[in-house]
Amino acid sequence: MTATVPPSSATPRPNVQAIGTRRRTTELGLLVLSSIIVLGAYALASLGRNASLPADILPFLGVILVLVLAAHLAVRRWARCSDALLLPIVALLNGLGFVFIARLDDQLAGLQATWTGVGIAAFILTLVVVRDVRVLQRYRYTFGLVGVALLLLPLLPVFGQNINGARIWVAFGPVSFQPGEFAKIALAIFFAGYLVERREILGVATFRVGPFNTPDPRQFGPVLVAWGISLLVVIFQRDLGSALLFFLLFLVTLWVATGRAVYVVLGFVLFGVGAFVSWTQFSHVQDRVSIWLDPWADPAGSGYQVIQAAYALAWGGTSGVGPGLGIVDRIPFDETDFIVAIIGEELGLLGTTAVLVAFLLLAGSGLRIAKGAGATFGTLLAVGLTSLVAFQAFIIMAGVTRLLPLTGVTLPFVSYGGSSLVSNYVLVALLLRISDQSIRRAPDPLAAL
Amino acid sequence: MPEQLLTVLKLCLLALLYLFFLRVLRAVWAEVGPLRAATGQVPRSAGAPAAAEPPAAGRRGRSARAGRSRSSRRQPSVPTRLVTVEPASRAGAEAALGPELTIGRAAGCSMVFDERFVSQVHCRVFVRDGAVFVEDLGSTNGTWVNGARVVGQMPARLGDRIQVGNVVLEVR
Repeated sequence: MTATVPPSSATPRPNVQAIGTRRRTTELGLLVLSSIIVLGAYALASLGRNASLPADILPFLGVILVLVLAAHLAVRRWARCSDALLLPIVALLNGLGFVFIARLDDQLAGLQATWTGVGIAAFILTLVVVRDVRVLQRYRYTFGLVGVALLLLPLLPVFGQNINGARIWVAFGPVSFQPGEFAKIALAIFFAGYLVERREILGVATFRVGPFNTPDPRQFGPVLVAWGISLLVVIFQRDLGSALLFFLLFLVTLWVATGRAVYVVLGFVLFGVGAFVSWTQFSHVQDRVSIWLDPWADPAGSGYQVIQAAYALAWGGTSGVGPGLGIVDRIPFDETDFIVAIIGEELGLLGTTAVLVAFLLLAGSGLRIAKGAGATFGTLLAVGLTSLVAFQAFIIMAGVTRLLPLTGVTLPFVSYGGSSLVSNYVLVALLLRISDQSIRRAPDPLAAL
Repeated sequence: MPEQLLTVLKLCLLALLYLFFLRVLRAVWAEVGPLRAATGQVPRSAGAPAAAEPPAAGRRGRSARAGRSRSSRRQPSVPTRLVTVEPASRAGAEAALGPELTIGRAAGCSMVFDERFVSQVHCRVFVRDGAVFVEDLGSTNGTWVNGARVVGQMPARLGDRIQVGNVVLEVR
């Protein structure tokens, strides 16, 4: 494979130090603003509920400041030139999510606060340990194995747990977690590392079908493997959301690596076939589809969640009934899958739009990082990680609003869930590392491999 | 707590949320906007997916076209020389086009660039029947004309930009 010159090498190198300082100042300003918003929402939710300010507002403020400052100082120390927007947006989403979890269930709020602490610790640890994303590329096959192993872990007889119909939990003593949340990062690293070395072979059109030039059909193997793994997840773990997520992750990374739309077309055809076959074969898939098409067929049973979510969103109207004033315990799983319906009830269309905009800006920043990384492993990894967050948010919000059949994945950073929170913080730390490196990187022929 | 007050507070919260997004967008603009104004370059976000494209093809192609229209106005229409554009430290260095002009790192080349992305004997540029041709001589990083990779012998016209590793030359 030939090395190509990154475009940045021909232009004069920007002043790295000045960029870093400016970005960190921006980040601090935005973090202060997002902390104020979270604090305000917390106070308002308590005012709505009990007509009094929360008793623990000062400790709450203290915890926010400690967590936010820890993350900010870590970025300042170990990824000074990285993107300034990711951390504030994540802090806002996580904080808003916490406010609504605390408003629904005090006990879960305590756990979520603990998990946020663990998440920030994992975030800092990732920044400290991963000093160079290219090191991850070196271990791509290890990460691939780890990813598949984590996916299969819940199927083990002793550790695996069946919770709410999906076998995606693993319990070690008192601690249980969803290994799939970590598998997605490992797989993103594997896909990026694998495809960055294969992209030339995969991208060359050498085979003619009628009027179309397509890549050699032998090269479609990886697509089929990714498809097969996704199907296995659907069949054995009954986790439709994650299966869809893995498949989309692979497809997007492949598309960006090769620039060939034929893979996307092939992917959607395969997806259609897989979806149809699993619909005819598996009852849990059929249930999801029939609830999606007509939840009112069984309003008190299987359709209950979706109908109540629709009521909650409708009740919220444009600006919501107000934090703390919605109906509690209306929807089962309101603190995980349906948190966006709660936000919709209490902050209305404007509130849910704000959540959407936050994810949009998060995805935009991620893609900007990918664009800046200069056609390397970093680009593909940034695209993969960004699409993980963006698609996961899309899948669950589309499920709640009945755009797609409901599949139970968490809303990144917002929903209650330790594994999801910690893994997403690791994901953001990796994105920041890629962004930091693309600013700092001296022209290096190996970087373009 | 009066209901109106709660409503007002709620609307303030929503306003703050959108103020946050406005600030985020402003931060993005601060990085994207002035950069464009200062360097006069098309922002990096334009163009197709980066990974699939030869490096900076879109940008170079565009600036090369601009360069051609500019140079054709004040120059005779027959290309006579190769002028270094990038890197900035070597800008202006030029050589006359002739039947054979080699570019590379080796001392024997007609134009010597001791740059890390330039191969020992990187490529040759020659004139045949009044037309300029570029041929890559098996270099590691390839030769590009206006962002298109040189395969075999490729013609170059007045104002075209030839990229040799990280060195950019303009045909004038």
